[in-house]
Parts: sequence; C-alpha cells; structure tokens
Amino acid sequence: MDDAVAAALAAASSAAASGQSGEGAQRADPGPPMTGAERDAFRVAVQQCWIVDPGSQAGRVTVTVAFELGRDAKVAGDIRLLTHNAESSSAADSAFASARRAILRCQGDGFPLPAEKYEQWRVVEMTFNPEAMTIR
Amino acid sequence: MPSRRRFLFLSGAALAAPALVAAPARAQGPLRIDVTQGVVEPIPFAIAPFQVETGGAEGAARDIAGLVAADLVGTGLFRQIPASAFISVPSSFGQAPNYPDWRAINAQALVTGAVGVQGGNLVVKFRLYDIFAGAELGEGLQFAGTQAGWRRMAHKVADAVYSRITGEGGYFDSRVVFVSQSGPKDARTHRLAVMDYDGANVQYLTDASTLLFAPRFSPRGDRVLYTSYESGQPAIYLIDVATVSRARVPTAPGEMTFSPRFAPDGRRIVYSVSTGGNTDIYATDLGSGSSSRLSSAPSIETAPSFSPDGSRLVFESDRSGTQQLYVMGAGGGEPQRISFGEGRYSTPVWSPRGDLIAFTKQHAGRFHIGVMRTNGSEERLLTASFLDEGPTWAPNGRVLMFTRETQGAQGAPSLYTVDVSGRNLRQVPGIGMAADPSWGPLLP
Repeated sequence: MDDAVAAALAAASSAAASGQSGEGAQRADPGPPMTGAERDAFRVAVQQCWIVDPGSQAGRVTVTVAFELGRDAKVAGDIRLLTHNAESSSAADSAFASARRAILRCQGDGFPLPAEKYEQWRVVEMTFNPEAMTIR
Repeated sequence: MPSRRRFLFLSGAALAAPALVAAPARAQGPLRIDVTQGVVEPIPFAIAPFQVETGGAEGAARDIAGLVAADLVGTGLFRQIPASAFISVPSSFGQAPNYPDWRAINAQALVTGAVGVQGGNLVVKFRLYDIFAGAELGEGLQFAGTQAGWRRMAHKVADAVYSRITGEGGYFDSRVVFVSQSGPKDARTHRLAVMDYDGANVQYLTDASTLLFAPRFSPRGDRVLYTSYESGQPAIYLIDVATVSRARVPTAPGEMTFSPRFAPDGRRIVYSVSTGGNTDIYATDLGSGSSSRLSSAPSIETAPSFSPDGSRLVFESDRSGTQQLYVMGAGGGEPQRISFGEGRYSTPVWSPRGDLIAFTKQHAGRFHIGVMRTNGSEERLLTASFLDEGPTWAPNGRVLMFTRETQGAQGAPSLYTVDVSGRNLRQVPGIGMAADPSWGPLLP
C-alpha cells in the first residue's frame, strides 16, 4: 500500500478509536440552533471590550475574524483576519488588533454559551462594524 | 500512470475515511455574529520602569519613561495603569513579560525600555507588547542622541508606540511656531517663537519690537513665513529657524501683503495682496521671484491653504456677502463654494490626510473650530467659546491646535488642542500668552 494512503487510514482509525471531539474527528449532534438571546449574550460579552477610536482611520474599518472555541467557551488557537475594508494595511492591522483584544479580553473564564450546543458555536466568524459609531 | 492511480486511490481513501468515524449528524457552518457597538474609552496600558544600563542614566530613564507616558495619556486615547498595580515586571530589557500578570491588571499594551550612556550620548531602547495577543507588537527600536535631547527621544518612542497601536502616524516629535505675547492688552508685544508640540523648549526667533502675526511653517519645518508691520504696512517675511536670519519675501505689488502659506513642495507660496480696497490671492515662486494672480474678484479673497497634493486651494471670500469657504485649482480658476451653514467661515486649513478642512466659524455671538469634508459635507463643530480661531493640524491630521482668547479687559490668548473627534480639549501648558499656532512636520 502506498505510504501516504496508509498514513491517512491510520490517522482516521486512530481518531475514531480515541473518540476525540472537536477538530476533524467525532462531532456531537449540534442540537437545536442558537436562540437569539444566546447569540445576543455572546455579542454583548464581546462588544463591552471592543474599544473603538472613532477619530481614527481604523475606527472606520469593518473586519471579520474567525476563531474556534473549546468546550470551555474560550478561544482555542489563533484568531484570524478573514476580510476588511481598510484603505491601508496599517488601519486594517489596527482594526484587527482591536477586535482580537476585545475577544481575548472578555472571554474571561469562558463566554456565556450553552454547553449542549457546542457544535453550534465551536467555529465562529465575528464581524466588527463600527459604522454606527462613526463621527458625522 | 502511477500518478493517476495514486490520485484515484487517495480519493477513494478520502471518501472511505469518514465512514470509519462517527459522521456529524448535520453539516455545521460557523456561528456568525455582528458586533456594531463598542465602547469609546482610553486603552489601558502600562510602562514598566525603564532599565538603567549604565551609571548616570538613572534620571534619564525615569524622565523618558515619564514623558512617553505623558505623550500617550495626553492624546486621550490611552490610560496609564499605575506602577502600584503591577504584579511583576521584566527583570531585564530582553526578558519577555509574564503575560498573565499583565492580563490580570487589564493592561492591553506594555512598554518596556532601557536607557544607557555611551560616549556621552544617551541610548534609549524600547519594546512594545500586545498583552492579550501574548506577543511583541513590532520589533524593538533604539534611538541615540545627546543627553540634552532626551525629550526628543522620548517623543520618538511615544510616536512609535502610538503608531503601532493606532495604525496612524504620530505627532509627538514635532514643533509649533506661534506668536508669544506679553504685556497689558493695550500695549501688548509680540515675538515669534517655536516650541515642542507640548509647550516645552520655547525659543524666540524675533524680538518684541514689531507687531507680527500668522506665522506658517515650511513643509520641512526649517523656515517660517509670517506677516510683519516692520515696514509700516503688513508685509511678508521669511525667517530661517536655525539661523534666525530673515528677509522680506518678494511679492506681487500692493499696499498690503499678508496671510502667506507654503505650497507642499516648499518652493512656492500663496498669499493675499490688498490694493484699493480689493484683496486677491497671488502665488510667488521663491526661487525665481515670479508672481501670478490666482483670483480676480471685487471682494476679499484671503487665507489660502493648499491640499496636501498641491493641486487645490481652499480660501475664504466674502463674494457672496458674508465670509464663506471656497475651493479652486492651485493655478486659479472658477472657485466652488463649499460652506453653506449659518454664520461666517474663515481661516480654512486642509488636513494633511487630505480628507477634511478645518475652519473658524462665527455664529450667534460664539466662535467655533470645526471641520468639514473637502466638498463641504459633514460639518462638525469641535469647540465653542468667546473667541476660538486659527486652527492648525498636527502632522498626522488627528489633532488641531488653535487660539482661544478670553473675554474682558484682562482677556488673553492661549493655545489649545482638540482631537478631531471633538474630545480631549486641552490647553498647551507653560507658554503664557500665545496665539497663531502653526504646527510643523514630524522631525527627522
């Protein structure tokens, strides 16, 4: 058997045997979808740590970031920048850093998320849009 | 065709592999959350005591760390966490911080530094850490300079920290030229002076023998244009900041010439010429001395200011009956009115970013400093008082400095700054009576 194929099958068998949850192996039934209140609680938990500087160029930039949460409802791994609408890379970097700080600062002992719906919130895409806070 | 077989086999394995494990009951996409309301508050940061790397640097280490903090806090965008709250500090400049200790006191950024004396010069090093990311933000930097120039090194450190966190250029290592005043209101004297942006290091460029006003820095900050009554009538002079040698600028002929300003290339100037009750805008090439007329109207056109790319001019004119703001090409042509609000608009200044025009507005017995888009839209008034006038932009286009004069027989002018958001109004300390500021570029 080709070595690469053997390795792939071995890895798959190993994952099945170990019963690992999360990354790529066994996943539980995601259960019912998140309710509006549950989503709001998550959003509010983050936005109270999102510091916006409305006078800056970064303060006019919308960024979308992606991250995974562990079962403890804390960030597992890196927070990645998916998209932005900045005109300069420095403004994008600053807006992204602000979003990342908001998530990491306010996760505390874990975000208020329903444990039984872990598969619903294991992977998150969060958009930070400061348009409503822009100075006019 | 081994490669083909391999592809097919791998594809089959990929399809088969999920069958060996428990398949998800339902395909699950990411949870998507929109955050649209944050908080507007200063970012908490900490400055660890700067390390002293050689004897004799103790005072400088303390002073530089203090001034870096003062610069950052003075923006209104940062809040310093007091040292009394620190749980631990790095024991050496090269040691990374213990991030959990700084997260525990909610520090979002940490500045560490070290100061030494080498060959009679100060050497300042610093590092900036993003505490919640658990990583250094940018690379460490080092500055060297004379011991007397410690303030500039502190400003440079603060500029770098500010820039890395906000994503915008700094403005701390810059100077402002202004008119220093003294004496009672009915016998006030005027001197041209320069200072650090924060009011430190005031140096006088002229004596108090002549009435002068409206100084303007050159784009490189090495020269200053100003208007003086030295010859009996308002005329434009140019002074070299380093040598304080000065000379009258050759201009188009007229009874009075005033309100000069440099073009972004530093080679041309624009100004107003008043003759027979009419005032128009002219330009002069400083190299050749040749002049050209840019406006021609039976009204008062004055206070021209270039766009950062040098292609357009904003100025004030009363051609509509009251003072309003107009924009025209840098070579002249038909101007377009951009101000339409109530009241009178004057002293427009184009932002270094190019996106806004700052101005003085007089309405209903009050004066305001305001900003608007370059097409006149989105006007916002940032201040209000008995007399606010003459805004000038910080080199990063983020802060405005202006003159505020108090009312009454004891009324006196002083300089204030305000953030372009309208927050963080502050008086420039320690310079006494002062007016007509012009903010220079970041120093090299």
